[in-house]
Amino acid sequence: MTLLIGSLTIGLILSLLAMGVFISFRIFDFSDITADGSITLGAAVSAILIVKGINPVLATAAGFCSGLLAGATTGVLHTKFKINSLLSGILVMTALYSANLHVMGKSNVPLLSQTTLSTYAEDFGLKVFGGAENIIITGWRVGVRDISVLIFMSVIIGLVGWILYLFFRTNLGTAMRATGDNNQMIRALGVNVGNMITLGLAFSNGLIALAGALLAQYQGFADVQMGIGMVVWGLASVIIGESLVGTRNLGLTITGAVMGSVIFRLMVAMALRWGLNPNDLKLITAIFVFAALILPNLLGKLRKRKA
Amino acid sequence: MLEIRGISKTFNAGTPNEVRALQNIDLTVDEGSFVIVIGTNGSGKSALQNAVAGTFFVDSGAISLAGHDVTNWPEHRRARFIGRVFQNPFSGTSPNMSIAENLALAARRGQKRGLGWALNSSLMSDLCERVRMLNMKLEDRLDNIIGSLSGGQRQALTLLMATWLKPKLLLLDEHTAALDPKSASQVIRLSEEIIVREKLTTLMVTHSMHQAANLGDRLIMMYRGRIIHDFRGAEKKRLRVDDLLARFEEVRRKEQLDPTAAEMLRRAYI
Repeated sequence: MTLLIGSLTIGLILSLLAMGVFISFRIFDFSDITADGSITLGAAVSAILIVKGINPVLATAAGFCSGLLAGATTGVLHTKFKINSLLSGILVMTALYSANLHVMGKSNVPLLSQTTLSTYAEDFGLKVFGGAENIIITGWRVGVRDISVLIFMSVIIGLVGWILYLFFRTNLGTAMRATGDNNQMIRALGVNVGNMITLGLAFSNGLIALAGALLAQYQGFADVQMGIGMVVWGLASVIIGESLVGTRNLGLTITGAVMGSVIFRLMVAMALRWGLNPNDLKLITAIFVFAALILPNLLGKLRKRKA
Repeated sequence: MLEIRGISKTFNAGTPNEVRALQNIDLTVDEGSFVIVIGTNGSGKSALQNAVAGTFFVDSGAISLAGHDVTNWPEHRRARFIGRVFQNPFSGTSPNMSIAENLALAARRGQKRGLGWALNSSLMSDLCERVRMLNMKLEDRLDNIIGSLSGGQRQALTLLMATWLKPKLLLLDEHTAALDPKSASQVIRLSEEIIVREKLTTLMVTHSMHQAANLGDRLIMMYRGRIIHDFRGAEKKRLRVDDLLARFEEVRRKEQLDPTAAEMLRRAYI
């Protein structure tokens, strides 16, 4: 049960990553791999600030802001200096590796004895349940600490997803969506496409860094390696979400990204439990995304051949 | 309203693919004037529109629009003054967004876009009314995505979007060329209706001699990046399709003459 709750929690936290990837890959059609660096950046910044004694809420916010900056940098490289989108992301991601080491001062910052957002949630949960360590939910014995953190993260993710949905329905948000959809049209309507892309990438990486900040506080450490392969992970979540709810409706797509992230994490937890070698995890993830990317095309061709 | 002074544009300068799209063009368009632009392929008529819209910057010369020197303004900044409809029905609308959202984007052309609701209630009632005027029964489908519409419907919507806020200059770039004849005539009728009603200053590129003869109060004909004819007022009114075809024939004859003339000159001087 603890394992299940743990997977759900991590899945929820990483759904922020999925939302970020959704913005860059789906809304802007921009293959942004800054994510690998910005998720670590968010974790590193918030972890080091917490260790320095800063309030975890402020530390988390600082993590989010560091992601905004990282994303904006990629955007500026691409739009102002006309560097290929993929390369802009690679440059910033590579630079961030050193930046992260500098931020943390070493390759790993433990947070186990620190007060974090997770311990806030645990303390609050313990208070609500009158100090009991375990409660029984439908016959299962569940740790109060675990379930409190899960509920806390659900609330945060719900809130962020809702804000994102609302944002994309404002004048600025619709202009962003149109930028990715048809930039010739939106330029003719007076929108500076470069600024939109930069702002969009900033938001995207802000969310991804927020995921890193929450993840570090949940798992109790920030590590310079934790971002490797995260773009693909986020993409896998988005793709699963799209296959579940389609792409027609914006609200559903965002919900789908969250669902995709949780489901993907659960699948991974199960696979590991059944004896999958953890070393193979990234390989399997990559193959999964590969398959998900080519399957629709392949199925379409097969259908045509039949018809 | 629009003043073009000696603009030139050469693409791929210095390479074998060099194209001198615009060569020292002067053109003044008065406020409220409806100018038709015709010419053979590669004559520079679309390049002229793109130069005005700011799709590219000109190599030399100056463009002024509504009293502003816009020569160095990027495209999105000029959009404040310009409404545009493109030849390709896919170019003017955002396919994965709803009809209402597309129109809402157009309702803020050239203005600041903040965190206000794109589809606020005052816009929505206005929207319903103006879409109904298109007579395409789209007012009940405002939530449908544009991708589900036909080319004719898209062009009609693009036209509505381009003129939602009255533009200082309306640019129509062969906007019916990709449509079936029925949709084309529907869209052209709609264009004329809006241009006349709103007294819009318009620059319309067309391939259709029929449209060229029947619409507008001024007609310019372009050839190899230059304006070779400029008919206005009564002269424009008298123009018939046959007259225009005759002008094209003239150009064609000149073109055939060119190589032989060059050969003659070569023999005479070398």
